[in-house]
Amino acid sequence: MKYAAISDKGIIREQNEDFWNIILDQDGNPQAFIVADGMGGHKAGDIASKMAVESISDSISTYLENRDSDGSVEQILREAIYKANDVIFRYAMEHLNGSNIGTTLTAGMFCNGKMIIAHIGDSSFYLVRNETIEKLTRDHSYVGELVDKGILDQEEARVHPMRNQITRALGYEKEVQVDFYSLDVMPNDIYLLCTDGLTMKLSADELLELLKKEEDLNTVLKNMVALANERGGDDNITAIVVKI
Amino acid sequence: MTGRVLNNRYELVEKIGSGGMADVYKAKCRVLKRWVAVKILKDEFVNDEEFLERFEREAYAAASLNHPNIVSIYDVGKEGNIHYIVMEYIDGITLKEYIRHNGALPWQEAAEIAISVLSALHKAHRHGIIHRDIKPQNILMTSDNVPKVTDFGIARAVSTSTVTRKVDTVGSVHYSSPEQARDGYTDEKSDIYSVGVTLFEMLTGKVPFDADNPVSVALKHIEEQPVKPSEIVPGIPEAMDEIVLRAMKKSRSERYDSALQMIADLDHLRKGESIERNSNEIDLFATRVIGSLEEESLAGKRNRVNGKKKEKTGKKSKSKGFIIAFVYILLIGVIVGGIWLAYDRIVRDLVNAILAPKKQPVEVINYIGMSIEDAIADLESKDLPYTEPVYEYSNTVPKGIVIDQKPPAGISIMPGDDAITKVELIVSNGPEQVEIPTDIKFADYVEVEIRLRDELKLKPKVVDEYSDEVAEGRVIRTEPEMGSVVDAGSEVIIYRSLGPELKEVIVPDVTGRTMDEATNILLSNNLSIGKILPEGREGYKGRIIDQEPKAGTTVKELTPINLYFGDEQAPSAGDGIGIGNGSAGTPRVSREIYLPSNRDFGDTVEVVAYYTTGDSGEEILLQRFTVRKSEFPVSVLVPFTPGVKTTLIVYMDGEFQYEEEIFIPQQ
Repeated sequence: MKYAAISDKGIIREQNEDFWNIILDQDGNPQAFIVADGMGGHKAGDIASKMAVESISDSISTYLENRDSDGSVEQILREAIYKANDVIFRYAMEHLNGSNIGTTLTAGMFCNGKMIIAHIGDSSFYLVRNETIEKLTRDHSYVGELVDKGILDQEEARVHPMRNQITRALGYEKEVQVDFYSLDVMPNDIYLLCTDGLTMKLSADELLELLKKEEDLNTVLKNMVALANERGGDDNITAIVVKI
Repeated sequence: MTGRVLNNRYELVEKIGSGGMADVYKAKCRVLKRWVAVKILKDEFVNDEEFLERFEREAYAAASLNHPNIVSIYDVGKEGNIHYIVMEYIDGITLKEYIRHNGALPWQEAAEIAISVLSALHKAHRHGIIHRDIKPQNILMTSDNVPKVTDFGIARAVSTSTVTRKVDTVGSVHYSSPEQARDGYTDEKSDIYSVGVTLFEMLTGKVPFDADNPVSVALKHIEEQPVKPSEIVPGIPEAMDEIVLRAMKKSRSERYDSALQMIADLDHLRKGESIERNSNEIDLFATRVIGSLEEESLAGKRNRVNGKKKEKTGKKSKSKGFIIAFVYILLIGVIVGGIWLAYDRIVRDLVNAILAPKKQPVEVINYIGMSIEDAIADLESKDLPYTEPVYEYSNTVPKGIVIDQKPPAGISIMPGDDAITKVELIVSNGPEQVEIPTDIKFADYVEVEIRLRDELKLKPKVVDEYSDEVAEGRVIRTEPEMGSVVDAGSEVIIYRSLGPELKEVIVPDVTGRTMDEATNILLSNNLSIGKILPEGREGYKGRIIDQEPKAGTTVKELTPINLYFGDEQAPSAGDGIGIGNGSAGTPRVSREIYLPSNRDFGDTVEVVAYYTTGDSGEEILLQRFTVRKSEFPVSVLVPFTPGVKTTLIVYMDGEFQYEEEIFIPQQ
């Protein structure tokens, strides 16, 4: 398995509010991948995403060390996410006067030949298999949901004035609803986890093309970021790519 | 934030509200000694330059709107990272709170409020400003129950921000038109839709479409038909149902064409008149005349109704019915025309004169020095007619204060809308404000100086400064900074670049080095390469035997260092691969570089010669030297390959001068 990650603040924003992590087991094999895109203003925009990635990483690491839980991986992820939600929400209450902060979260974790994906917000998880690319996650955003309902198409969604408004966020409210997806891991699969700084600028077909064009994953990610920045770079860009 | 004073002028006293985009404070304006509301943009937006620009532009546009049902914008400003709008302070509650407090409003009151909101929109639409976020939360009710619309145009700035945010779960989506919900498209008719929804809520106490999440609400706006308000609150007139449903039509073309048209229907309803239907192109005035006429002439009305009935039922004698209808219509036309004239010219005056209480002239008081709001309040309390205030820039009178008036104080005029003499007020707009452009960074300082002085009426002052990133003679920054809004006539400092600050460096020793090595050493010490001597020698083969200035000397950065090579005939170490030089065995041909007559030079000329071989296009440095004019022509040796075209390219004093093709056939 090969993997690489990149995070770039883009060319407009002053700070990077995206966070990511790849969690390894004791043997150094990657077990879980997380990207998070924070929101909450220029003083607090990076708090929720950072707290989410740290808290969930901790929970997963603890699980990986002991593997004493009876629950499924989905259960582990769900609990880790609820805990992170609680931590962020309480932090905002206690330290930010209750002003709302939150983050998107897209995480994938291996489990017995499967990849379990947990998802909140408008970051994405793509699967590349047999030369085709498929976005597995559904955006919890205003435009994303209108796309799902067939009201808007992808192109209309990308230029919609409300394209940056999400309908679910981790840590924003007392409780959070998480979507789970699962897929069988197959040889030569490629998984791409990324924030909307990438997907707002590059179509799925373009992502696929960049993945096919270049063998080295670090170069692939650099090319993706460069293209997104060339097209405005008005948001932070974060991506993890995993090749089985 | 409370207790803070913005730009030494607005003293934040108390937080009075908070919305998706801004917090609102009650504040005291120290200059005009009055209460104002200061809207401070939330943190998450202040990093988004594009958004801030749009936000400011929309706020300025809205500031030009002057209307009794629009919350006035006094000022737009920033202090550091705090971006704010200063507005009229309204001591009251929002229409949302008003409805929550009173429940469904009587339809007559709802009509009154809707008319006020529409008349504010009419004004804005005429100025090309779309509100885009009409909702009860953006309509304030003063303590005298006067509705005032706030936040014109700002919705657009906010919705297009690239900042990731949570969808507003309580607000705007409940009032968004289908096109706004779907594509984000908005125009005047989107505002009318939102008024329709607001009117629905006033009449029934609830919004027409509700769901537990904003996307479902949006979908309902796009797909579902609203119920009639009278189905929720019995007793609402059918005509009111029709007005609400027409304003809320999914298709823009089926809605009212303008705010004015909707006002006309509400006005009829309020006065107990029937609504003119099936017409997309009636203006307020025409509608009112026909409406009044129906009251005046019952006969005409009856005729008209009969005519319509005949048209519908008279299937058997279609043509006959048509003729009868036509005659009726003609007749009505004549009657309408006649009565219109009579009514307008005579009847109204007569009726007014006889029925209206006898009006007395009222003395105009002195308004000069008073705030425009107070002046208008006084005029309105006396029912004195006034024209739209005229705003003029003034450096001496604060913004919003009356400078002049006509007629002068002491003159008496007739009250009422139809009076001939109206009070004209000239109001100070404060000093003329200009924005220091943001595109002047890196521009030539002379152009900038002229632009600031002539176009923007500022007083530019040039101050020199070293800069590593801005070229010499170009603008580094200004004070106040670019993008600030300043008073016309104020001083702006232009910081002109002197180029990078030249530090002193100690000349390194390059004797014994090859040309390549010396170049690297000198360039990395921020020195430049001077003359290569002796001139005209073949390439830079061999090692440097001397340099000027000597090693150890202290000089300014970029000082050229002359390099001396040994005589080319002398045996060299043989290892130096000179810059752009072919290998030692390459044949060379001598060419003379001459001084062109069509260009003026100083006493010395810097010559840089390149050559290319074949069609490679790769320019290889042959020689760089500075010589006196009198020394021309100068010979150079150009490497060549027999049978291949070689081009000699000559630059003088940094500009391309000429090129010469050299072709020596193979033997």
